[in-house]
This record gives sequence, structure tokens and C-alpha cells, in this order.
Amino acid sequence: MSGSLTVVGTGFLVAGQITPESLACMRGAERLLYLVAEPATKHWLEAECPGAESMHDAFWEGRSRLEAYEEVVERILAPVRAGRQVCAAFYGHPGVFVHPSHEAVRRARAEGFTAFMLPGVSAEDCLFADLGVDPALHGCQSFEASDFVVRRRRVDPRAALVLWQIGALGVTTYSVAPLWNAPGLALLVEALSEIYPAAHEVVVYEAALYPVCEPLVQRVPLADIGRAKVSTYSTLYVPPARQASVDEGMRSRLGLGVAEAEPS
Amino acid sequence: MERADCLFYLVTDPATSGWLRSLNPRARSLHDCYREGEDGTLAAGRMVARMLAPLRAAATAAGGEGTEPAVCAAFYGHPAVLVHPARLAAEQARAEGFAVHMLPAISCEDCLFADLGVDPAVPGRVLCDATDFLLRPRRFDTSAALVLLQAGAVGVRRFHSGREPSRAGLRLLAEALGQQYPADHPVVLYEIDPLPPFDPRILRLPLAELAEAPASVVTTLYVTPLPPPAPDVERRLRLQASATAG
Repeated sequence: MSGSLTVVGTGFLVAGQITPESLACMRGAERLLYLVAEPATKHWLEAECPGAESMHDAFWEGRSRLEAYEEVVERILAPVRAGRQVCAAFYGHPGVFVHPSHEAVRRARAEGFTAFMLPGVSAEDCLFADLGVDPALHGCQSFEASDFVVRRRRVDPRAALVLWQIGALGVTTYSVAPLWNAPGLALLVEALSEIYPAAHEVVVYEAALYPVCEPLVQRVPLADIGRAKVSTYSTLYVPPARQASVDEGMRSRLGLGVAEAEPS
Repeated sequence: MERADCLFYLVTDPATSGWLRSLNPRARSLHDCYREGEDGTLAAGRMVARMLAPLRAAATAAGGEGTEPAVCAAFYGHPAVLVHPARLAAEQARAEGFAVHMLPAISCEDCLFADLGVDPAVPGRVLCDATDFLLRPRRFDTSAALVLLQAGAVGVRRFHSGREPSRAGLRLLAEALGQQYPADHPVVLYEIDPLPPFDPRILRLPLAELAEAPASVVTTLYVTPLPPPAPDVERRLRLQASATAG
């Protein structure tokens, strides 16, 4: 039988957010490789699927993250090439801020294998639910934080903004430390201050990892991000600074009345 | 859902409806709040009233001393993403002093990320409701991917049960995008099939063909990113310096 690859996400809260579809794939796979965030998920997963193999040993202090990702991709593909039905499980959504998952699917398909990805619950999904914000109500922009700073990505303050990995600004190597670049946060604040007022309230957010825990929601003025507790699990949410105004010409072309043009 | 004293739900297909009723015999659909041809916000208002009714009744009966029933409301997709009755009910219930929790789920966009192999963090993404995108022009980064929800229902405020897209809306969308992207720019029409084992509908086409494309009322539009801007050398050096200092 020819090899195949299914990439799944375990969400957060140990097994609390995994979908029945993803769980069935994990149980049915001949080889299961995984990367999860904490030991409880690891224990659950190994009990659920004996023989599951962690890829966490691809990461060590000071190792280039790109090099680690390359190892992860190749470790996933090796049993696929050997004709196995392989499942690769990542915490959260396997396609949201996870590089090796997408790359493994691309490479497997390029080599002629059947490969697909199943969606999971991402940290951003948890953020929207915990903060009670609808990302589509006023629009939402998201960037990787270092990329936002270095490439001066254009942000419109009339929509929400999500920045990933504010705890790892400019760092390309892996570390076990919870925060990889504290001084870099000043540069992040500087970049955001070109777009928003310094007093604009932002949220430094960490999804809850365990079922009994609350998420970490820190509301601070933009200028004080450096004083918040920031880690590599932190995501920054910046609410819109003001609402965009209606283009009256477009409103009449859409055939909408004044009241109908309000966000419902 | 299983333990709730009252379970309300809004789903798109009878199989999910049947499954919910098997989980909890007290499950009640909110779908009858819609009236053909009526503004969707009126239906949302009815749904909010229905979801809050058991909480309000218990609070009144017990004079605020009794135990409140556990009310659960289940929606298809992610309840925080473009589900107006869920958001309005949560806001209203909090305003009236009830404890409210929202649990996350897999959104339409999450399915798109998995099915199209797109990562929203790199090279970035902009998520918008398609009608809002047209009505309130903003200056978004075109080197980020653009996800336009409800692209097949632009300008549609009235509920109807058909599947035909708003053709006039698609044309306006094509015109607006044409001012920011070249005519041959690749875009993708994306549609989830809610029932297993069917695959999603994925149609890749150049922007120039969007106006007359075979979309449906539930189509999401994915606009691929343009090449990213060059790094700011000074910023990069300062960030690298801060990383070594830290």
C-alpha cells in the first residue's frame, strides 16, 4: 500500500478541543508523530495511541528553528515514503503559525503521496471566544510580529490587529526560556506607536492550556506592553482604534439603506 | 450541550440537527426565527429573546435567589465569527448580570487554512466580511492574504433560502479588488461542504473572471498575497541587536 499523510491539530485544553475526525485519524494511523505544548497532552496522546513518537527532541537550546523544522518535515515524510499511513499531530490548529505542517503536506504531494490537513482550534480561535470579539465585524489583520516590525507591514487602525509570537521578536533559534527577546518589545511598541495612540488599550493574551485554567488576559496601554507578562505563547490583540466610515456612493450602489449599512 | 437544561441551536443541515437532538432531547432549533425576505437582524433579535427567556424567567421567579438554568446555544462554525445572534445574546446576557462563557470552535476560515495550505501568520492575512470590505474602504496590506467572508452574499441583508449568489455584489467586489490587484491575480472561491465525506469546493481563477464566476451564496473568497515589501534594514539590525542583548 502506498504511503499517505494526514496532519491534524489537537487544539488546547489537553484533549478537550480535538475533533472526532482528527482523533479517528490519530487512532487509525500506522505511525503517529506529534509536537504538543505540554506534558498532559503528551501523556494523553501516548495512552490513546501507543507507539506515538514525539518530535520535540528536534528542538534544543540554541538550535536554528529552520533547521529544527526541516528535521520535523523529514521525520514525518520518512515513514510516508516507506509506504505507511502517517498522522502528524500538532497542538492548536496545525496550519496556523506552524511551518513544518504545511511544508510536509506540500512535499508529500509533490512526491505523489496523498496528503491533507484537518483543521483544529487555534490560539486565535480561543482569543476570539475568550475576549468575545468577532474578527469579521470590523475586519481583522494578522501578522507574525517580527515580520510586522521589520517589513513595516501596513496596518489599518480601523480594523483589529493580531500579532503572533511577540515573545520571540527577531529570534531565529529555539530556547527553553519563556520569553526570548524582552528588549525587542520596545521596538514593537515603537512600531505600533506610529499607527496607534500610546494610550490605546491592547490585550496580551495566552490561551489556557489546561481545562481548569483561565486564559491569561492582560489589558494594558500600548506603551506598557513591555511591563506585561509576555511569553512565547503570547499573542497580541489590538482592537480597532476607530470605526471606518461608510462610502455613501458604495452604499447606494449596494442598494442598502442607511440603517442597513450599520454592522449588524 | 449534553448537560444543558436548555439547548438552542442553529445549524445548516438536518443531519447535525438530528445529532444534536440525540445528544440532548431538550434541543430546540432557532431556525424558525428566520422569515423569508425579512431583514436578518430581526431574526437575530428573536433568537436573542428566545435564548435569554429561560434565564430571565428563572431570575424573576426566584427573585434573584434561585438557581439559574444552564442554557447552552450551539452554532455551526465558530460562534464568535460572524454569528450575530451569538454575540448579541452574550452581550445582552452579560449586561443583565448572567454569567456567560463562549467556547471556541473550528471556523470556516480554519477549514480554508487547512484545505488551501495557507498560514495566516506568514505572510499575514486580512479577514473581512465582504460587504463591510466594500462599504468601509480601508487601506489593507495587499502583501497579506485576503479572506472575504460571505463574498457570495454581498449587500444581502434579507434572509432567503436560495443558493444563488448576489451577482451585482460579486461585480462590485471584482471592481474594487481590480483597483488593488492586477487582472490576472489568482483568487480562490472556497466553499465548505458541511457533510462528510464530501470535499470542499475549491475553484482557482484570475481576478478578471470573478464577476461572472460560478459562486454560491455561501462562497468565501480567498485573494492570494502579493509579494512582501523589502525589509527595513535599519529596523532589522535594531531587532537583531535587541535579540542578542536579550
